[in-house]
Amino acid sequence: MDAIRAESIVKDFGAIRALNDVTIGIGPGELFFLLGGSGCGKTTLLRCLAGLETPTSGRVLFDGEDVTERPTHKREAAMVFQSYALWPHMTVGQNIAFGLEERKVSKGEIEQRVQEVLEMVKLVGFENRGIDQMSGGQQQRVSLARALVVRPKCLLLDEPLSNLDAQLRLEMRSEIRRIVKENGLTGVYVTHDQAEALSMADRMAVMNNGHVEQIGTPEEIYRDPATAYVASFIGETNLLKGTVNGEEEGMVTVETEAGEFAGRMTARDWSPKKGDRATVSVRPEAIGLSETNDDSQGVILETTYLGNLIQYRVRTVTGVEVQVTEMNPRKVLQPGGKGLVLDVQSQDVVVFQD
Amino acid sequence: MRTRNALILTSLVTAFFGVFFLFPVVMVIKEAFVTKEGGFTFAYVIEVFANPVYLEGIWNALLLGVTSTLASLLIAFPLALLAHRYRFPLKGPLSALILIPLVLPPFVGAVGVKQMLGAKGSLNAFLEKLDLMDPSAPIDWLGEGRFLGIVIMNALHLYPILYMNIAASLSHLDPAMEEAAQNLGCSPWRRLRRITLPLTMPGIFAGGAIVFIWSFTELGVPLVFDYARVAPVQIYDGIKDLSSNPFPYALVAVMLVISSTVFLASKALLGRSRLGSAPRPKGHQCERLLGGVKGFLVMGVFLAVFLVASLPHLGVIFLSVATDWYGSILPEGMTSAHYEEALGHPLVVPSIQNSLLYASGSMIIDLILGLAIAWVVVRSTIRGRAFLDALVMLPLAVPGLVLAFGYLALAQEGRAFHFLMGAHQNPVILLVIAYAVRRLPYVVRAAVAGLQQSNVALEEAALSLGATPMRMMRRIALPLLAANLIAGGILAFAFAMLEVSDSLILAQQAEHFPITKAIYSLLSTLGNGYELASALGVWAMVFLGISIVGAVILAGKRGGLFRM
Repeated sequence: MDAIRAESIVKDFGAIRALNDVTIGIGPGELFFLLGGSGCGKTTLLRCLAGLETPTSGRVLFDGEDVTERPTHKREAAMVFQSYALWPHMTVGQNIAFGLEERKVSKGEIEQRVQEVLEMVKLVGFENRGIDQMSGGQQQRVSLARALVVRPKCLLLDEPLSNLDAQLRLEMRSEIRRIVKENGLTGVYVTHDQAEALSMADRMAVMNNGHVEQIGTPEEIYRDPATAYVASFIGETNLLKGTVNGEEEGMVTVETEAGEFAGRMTARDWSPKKGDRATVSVRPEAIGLSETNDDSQGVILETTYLGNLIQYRVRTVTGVEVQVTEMNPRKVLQPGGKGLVLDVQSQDVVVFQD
Repeated sequence: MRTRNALILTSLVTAFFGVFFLFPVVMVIKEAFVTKEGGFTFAYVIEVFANPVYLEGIWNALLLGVTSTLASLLIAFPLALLAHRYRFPLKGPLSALILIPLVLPPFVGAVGVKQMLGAKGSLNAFLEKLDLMDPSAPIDWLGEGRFLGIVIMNALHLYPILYMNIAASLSHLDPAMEEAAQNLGCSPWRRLRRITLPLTMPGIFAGGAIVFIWSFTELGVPLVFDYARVAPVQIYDGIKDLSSNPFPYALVAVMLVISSTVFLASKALLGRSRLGSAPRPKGHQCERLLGGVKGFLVMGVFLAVFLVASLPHLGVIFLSVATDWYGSILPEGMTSAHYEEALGHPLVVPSIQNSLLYASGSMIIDLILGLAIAWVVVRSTIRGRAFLDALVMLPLAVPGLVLAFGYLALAQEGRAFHFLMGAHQNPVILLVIAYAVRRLPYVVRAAVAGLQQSNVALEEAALSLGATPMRMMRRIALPLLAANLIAGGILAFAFAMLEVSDSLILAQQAEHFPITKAIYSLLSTLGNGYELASALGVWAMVFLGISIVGAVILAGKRGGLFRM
């Protein structure tokens, strides 16, 4: 049974439909990500799970129990807010103890559990500090501790790292994942940062425009994107429009303006026929480049050297521009050099129905 | 801004404040502690506390201050919370409407209340009609309950100050603060007590201190209710024998100590709040839409508060057009005679002219000083700017009564300000300055807020493009500040028109009376004095209604003007 289940959730704000028939199931102990651009509905969905919004229609189930109408304070779903929402009129310790006091936990136990959780977030000795005496990263830990200390059924995180600097963000990623896993919590984590999602998630849902585009593990989402939107939102990709030439054992050949490509199809509800419109996705790092003196397939327009990799902007002889990335480059090719041969493995190509 | 100019401005403003604020206040205190022979004594102050009449006066003033503040809070907090939490029909107009009572002059309203709650008032007539009361033995609702009447008038007049402060505090609150509490298992009522209320405390303290000092030293309303057993009225009555009697001074000194203690205490409590550290994120709209019956209920609450608060003034309007209103629920008939007669009355038209002159004069002084001070405080880097900022806020802590009293004492024959009043006892200069000093904090706050919101880079860009500092001021800075300055100016103007204590104390000759003193002296005229006073009161309310609506619209945001 799913620990958390959102069933056919619709949420309207006036005339605007923020969520359009969203269904998601999250297993016990899973760290699940909601990923999408701003305005895609990911935070609204999280707030529906928290009980801070009531869905216009649809149900929220915790362990199979319908909690759609249950008010926030009775849900046992602790939330970590983007702004941290630490109360400035209380100390660190008082902030953390708050939820336990509301649950009428005994004084002695409160003290002990606050100490435990402070240890977990590495803030022992800070309990008497005021909130304004804590740095951004420390405040982040306090807000995490405040949610963890009540031992919630699930932990909801709303872009918890978006206010931290890059270095701290990297540290906190593994920190949060460690804490969630050590405590066996079910976590739902909202972010727009794909690196955060790919590196931390057990599974994730990519959302766009109020609906779910795809649910899967980071590897599935990256390797087998179900839609062109997912392919372009997660990582970079070259999308080429074309028409289907034929299909054989799941491999589809598509004639595009940059030539013919064979690739895998990821959508199960599509049986491609010759002449169907289709889009081909090829990741920049899946294209190999080599110089040639014979038949050239393209030339370099621009070279961007980034040390660990090089990005090339290439124009094919058919006049299409594509991005090519070479990892661990040993040699830098410059515009105006020799002609190029482009090499693409069909297992790195994904084909979508238009 | 160049440091030299900032220093010059600071010295000028400090000198002005020294002469027209600190000097009179210190003088009043000195009179309370120095004997005729020039020796130092505590005898007068001790006598104040030993004399049961004075002691009762101070005690009653304190009680009036505390109960009026609590009553205002009781009205303002639920309203502010409802407006913060919910959207309901007509919310925009209603939340502007409930601010209006602030500019309805309370001592004029008191006339209306007397008309309705007196022995021959509307309420009794209504009860007699229902056979609930014996006409031969009417209850005088205000006879024993005059204290309560004053509290009600104060609360209905001053609750908007608390409302605006609380609303401002709530609007700075990150909605996630409340959601987090809810999320951790806090029920809505406990959340109110543990999170919302503590985080709103800065607003409650800031507004509460102003409301307390205002009602603690209120002179007009007790005068109209004939409530003489309160310190401000005792001080006012003591003016007659000012040169021989040191006790009014001692009483004033005691009131000053109490009100500045309250002011400083609320400042200190504000200083400890940590709200500044939490920036408000652009997050979710926390207002919930209330539809149907609930929405209309909340709407009804707002409307009811406004109606109750303006009921006294409705009484004044009725009185001003009544042919006869004695022992009946509503006036017997309508007439415009009082308005016509008022225009012919030797007090009325000159008082309107005087008030307009005094109020605009003080407004202009406030605007010039306010802009200069705000400029130094926000844009300069000189050391004294925090001191200057604190200095100009002091008039909020000092009751108008104290300042007026000091001016009057200094205007006596042979004293420092005598030349300002001249042989003809013309108080125009002193009144304008007194009005200006007391309202300066509002204008400074408005200008400071405006300067803080506008980006320095906009001004620097003009300078870098070759504008001289004066041209930059005129073409860039002033237009950007205009809304704030106009809002602050109109408020200063409106409050100057309403001013009671300075006006009653400083204007001694009928030809120099401002509106408020004219109304007060009409009230004690036999015959149709009440009706004439009401007609003049209605004129004043019309003026004020127009100016405050303008100020609210121009200020855009509520609350910016009344924060400490």
